[in-house]
Parts: sequence; structure tokens; C-alpha cells
Amino acid sequence: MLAIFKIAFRALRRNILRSFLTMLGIIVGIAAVIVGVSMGTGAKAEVDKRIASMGQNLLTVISGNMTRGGVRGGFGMAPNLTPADYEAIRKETFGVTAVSPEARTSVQVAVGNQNSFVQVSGVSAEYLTARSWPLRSGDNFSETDVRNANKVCLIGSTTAKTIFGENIDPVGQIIRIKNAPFTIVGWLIAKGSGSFGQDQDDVILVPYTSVMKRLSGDTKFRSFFVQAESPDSIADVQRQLTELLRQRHQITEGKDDDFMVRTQQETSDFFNANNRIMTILIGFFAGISLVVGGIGIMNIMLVSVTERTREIGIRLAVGARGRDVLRQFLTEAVLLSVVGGALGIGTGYWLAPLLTKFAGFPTLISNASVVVAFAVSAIIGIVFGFFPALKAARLDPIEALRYE
Amino acid sequence: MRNLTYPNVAIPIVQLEEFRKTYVSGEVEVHAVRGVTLTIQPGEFVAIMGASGSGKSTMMNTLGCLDRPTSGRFLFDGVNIDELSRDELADLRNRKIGFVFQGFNLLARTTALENVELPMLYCRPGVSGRGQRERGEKALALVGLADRADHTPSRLSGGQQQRVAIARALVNEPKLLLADEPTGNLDSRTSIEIMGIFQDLNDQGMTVVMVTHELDIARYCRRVVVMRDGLVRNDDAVKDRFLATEELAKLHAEQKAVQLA
Repeated sequence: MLAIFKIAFRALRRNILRSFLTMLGIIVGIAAVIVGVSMGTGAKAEVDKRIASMGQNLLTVISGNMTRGGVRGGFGMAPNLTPADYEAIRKETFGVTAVSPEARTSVQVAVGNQNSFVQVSGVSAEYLTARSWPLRSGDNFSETDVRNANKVCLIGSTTAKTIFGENIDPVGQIIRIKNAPFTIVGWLIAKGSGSFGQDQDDVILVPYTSVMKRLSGDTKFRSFFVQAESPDSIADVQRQLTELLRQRHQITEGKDDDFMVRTQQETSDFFNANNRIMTILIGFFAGISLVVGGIGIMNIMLVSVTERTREIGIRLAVGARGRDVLRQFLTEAVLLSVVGGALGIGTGYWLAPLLTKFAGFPTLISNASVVVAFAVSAIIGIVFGFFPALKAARLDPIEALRYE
Repeated sequence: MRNLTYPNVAIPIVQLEEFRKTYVSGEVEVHAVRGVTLTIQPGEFVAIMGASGSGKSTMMNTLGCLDRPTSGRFLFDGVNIDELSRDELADLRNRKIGFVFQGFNLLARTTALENVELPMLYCRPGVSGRGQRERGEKALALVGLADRADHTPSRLSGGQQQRVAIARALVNEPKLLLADEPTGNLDSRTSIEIMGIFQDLNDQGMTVVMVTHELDIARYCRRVVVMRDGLVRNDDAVKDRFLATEELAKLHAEQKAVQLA
């Protein structure tokens, strides 16, 4: 077996440039597969990371229904989640560790003579738990603060940096939100980009009551965050929330929900659908280049068989069976494609980080894609090497010996 | 010395009965061999002679089990060739026949030793790498090229290349050494040396059949079969047989005489 590879290797080395050019097709194809799949995997990993950064075992209730009628109307619709809904969820659902509404508003925030527009989110005291969001310093506001609509707030790291400068603890400072003085009681640690790519740290969290009464005047929420107590209870909590809200919103049997209860998994699937399409598309084009590479191998192997007709004749004369000759040429083709595949994988490993560095695409090379790429290159060698090898094996020894 | 009278005598290496070979080229049928009956016993040294188109190449291909008769019977070492598959023919060639060609037919860019080892790659059961090397070196030593084992054909003279080819033919200890114009590409002195090797092998019991169109080369053999138009016209023992050792000595003396003169 080793001897066969040695012979094949030597035959290929004789025409080193030609062998390399033949392999180039496979190299390009396999590198494209590796890089393409790494882009898909990388994008998915990025999405998953962002989704995970939202919190653990988190369910999101969003007002409106994006899927209704195929129109993505959810964010444009008027909020329809009420404080009463929130209270009901707190009291009537089981297996829930934290619940928080979110009332967003973008308002002017000023410190001294500096002012800027910042996203202010009105949330409950359980919000930080729901979103697994620890504080860098200070404390969370309390249930009492929420009940009394106190003028206290938590500040995100980006906002703190913009207003107070880097690494300066803002706890205890007073900021004016829409001219009302709020005391900063806690400094949030940096969380990074969210699922939409937005900066989650450019935020000020205040009790939702304060937002509704003092800042926006809204009476309804756009969304609720609900944390299930374990991964196993997520589905159950989702069902409970749906039933409860349908009942409270008086949605009759057969009618669509006017809200959505999304798990992190569903959010992840939603974003990854596009990634999957991209991966399939890139894989398709890479597949085409692999086929072209395979045809290149077939072409060169056919030339090689013709050139070496006499050699084949000699081998047949001294007792090689057809299948010996077949195996010899098939081994050469497979060696070409497998070495090409290995070089392609190497090229992919080299290209993927460059793509991340210069084009900003997140890439992640999975072991599975490497194994598959390698197997595919071997299969290409077998498939496209078979016909030339068969042609060689079927040569008539007399004709082959006479060939000039 | 017939089998019938002496049942203990070995079976013939070659037994052709009413052998015919017809090729179809386009719409024309070419009758290359038109009924040859020929027996070659172990230990014989036969030259098949004839002009081009006489059918001697067809004879050669058939004796080498590269081709089957169109009609008639061909027993090789007692085995009817017609009943063998393509693979079985390949195995038979591998074990029982050694080929020597006019154009040497060595693999380029492959050392002498590796060329000699080539038939052993296809032995069933296989030969170990070490066994291959030992047998290859032995065969090369037999033709006097032990010191050229790692030379590629391009670094060997014509005579040396033909010796490598002979070593390759001998490496599987065949029953028949089949040579197709083995001296066709060689000068007269080298030709005699090659014939000397054949004579030595034959003296040790090897059956040798060669095709040639040179009468003085045929005279190194023991028996000459002359073909014309696809038929055997003459089949005689060689009278006044040349011996390579004597001829080389003569040549040597002549050269000396030329130098002295």
C-alpha cells in the first residue's frame, strides 16, 4: 500500500509544476469552502454570543406580532403591554425567577453644562437578574424606589464614559434627565453588542414608574423580560405567558396573538436564518469551483494516461492486472486532490483570520468543516480520477507497447 | 523425444495447433498467421525469422500470452490460453514469461534496480520489499550490472539497458524468455554480448524464443523457424552454430590486428 503511494508520489513529482497547477483548482475550491463555512459559523457564533449576552433562560414578550400576515409590523405598532399585565405575570406564572417590563425613551441627559441624548430604559428591580447583568460598583435600585417612582438610576459603561470619562466611578453623582435630577446609584459593567448590533452599554436604567410618570408619560410597555428558573422550564413559561396574555388581552380562540413570546433560541434562529442562507450560497459556489477543480484533475490524468501509454504497456506485459493499473492512476488522482485539499485547508486557515482582520467578518473554522473538506477532496479524486484510470486499465497491452 | 514415447519428459512450453490470427482493419480482414503448428520443448533456443508482414510479430504476441488465437489451439506450459481470463493471462505472464524488447522498454527516471523489481510488484502472493531488492540485485548481478543498480536508463548504454531488461525478464524465474528483436537497437559487438547472455541462460536450462530478421543473430540459437506470409516455411536445427565467447574472441583478435597494422 505504501509502495503504491510512493510510486504515485514520484510520478507526480516528475511534473511538479503541472501537478501543482492541477491541484490549484482543488486548493481554491477547498479554501473557499473552509472560508465560506467559517464565515457562516463565525456569524452564528457572534449571534449566539450576543443572544447569550441578553441573559440566561430569558424570554422576551414583545407587543405586536411580527409574524402576523407576514408583515413585520411589531416594532411599529403601538405598545399594548400594560402594568397590569406585568403584575399578572409576576403573580400568576410559575417557574419564573425575575420579571421586568421595559419602557424606553430617548431623552436629553445633562451633567453640568454637558448634555446628550441617551436611551433611558424604565425597568423593574429584577431587570438586572433577568439579564444577568452585574454592577461594577454601587447598588441596584429597590422595590421601594420602583413603587415610589424615585429619581434614581443605573448607568451603562458607555454612557458613563461619555459623560464622566473613562474609569471614573459615577456612583453618587447627580444627572439631570429631562431636567429632573436623578441620583446614580449603580454603575453597570460593560456587556457589549446586543442581538441587533446595538451598544447595550449606552443606556441609563431607571425604575419604570419613573419613566412613565416623569419622563415619557407612556402607560404601556413595548416589552417584558422574563427569566425562567432553568433551561427545562423555558417552554413551560413560554406557554404560561402566552395563555395568560391571551386571556388578559381577551383574544378569542382562533385569533392571532397581539404579542410575541420569544425564547433566546427562537431569537437566535431568527437571526441565523440569514446566516444559513449565506453559508449555503457560499457553499454552492465553492462546490462549483471544486467540480471545476475535479475536471482539471480528470483532464490532466487523461493526458497523463496518454503520455504514459507505453509505461502502461510494459506494466501489463510484465503481469500487471487491469486493476493494478487502475489502482495506480486512481492513487495518483486521489493524491493530487488530497494534497490539494490539505493545501486548501491550510489556505483557508490562513485566509479566514485575514478576512476577519481586514473585512470585519466574524469567522470560525469548525473541525467538522475541515474533516468534511478533506473527505470531499478525497472523493473528488476518486470520482474524477476513475474514468482516466479505467481508460488506462483497459488498454490493450500490444497496442500500448507499440505506442510511440 | 516426444511426450508419447517418453511420458516422463516435461510437457512442451509452447504447443500451437493450427494457430490462426486474423485482424480486422477497417473492412479488410488481415490474415496475419494462417495455420501454424509448432511445439517448443523446455530448454530449446529458438529464433523465429521472417520479413515484416510474415506474421512473426503476431507469433510473438501470442507466445507472450498478450493475445489469443482467432482459431486453433495454444497450450502454454500445458494450459489452454483460450480458457484464461484477462487477469489470469496477466498472472501467467507475470510468473512464466520474461519479455525482452527491441527498444528495451525500461521505465525512464527509474533506477535499474527498480526496473528489475517491476514484475515483482504484481506477484501474487506479493514479495516483501526486502525480498524484491534481494532478487532484483541477484538478477542484475546475473547480467553483470550489480554496480549499476542505482543508475537510471538515461545513464546506461544501449547494451546495459538491454541487460537491465533481461534482468527484469529473469527476476520472476520464468519458464520462457521471449525476446523481440533484442539486438535491433545495438551495435554488432554489443549484440554478440547480449546473445552470449542468452546462450549462457539457455545452457543453464532456460527456454529462449526470440524474433529476429538478422540471419547471423539467428545462428546463435539452436533452432530457426522461418515464417513467410503467415506460415512456417522452414523449421531446422542451426548448423555451424555461433558461440558468443568464440565470436567475441575473434572480434578482439581482429581489433588487435587492426591496431597493430
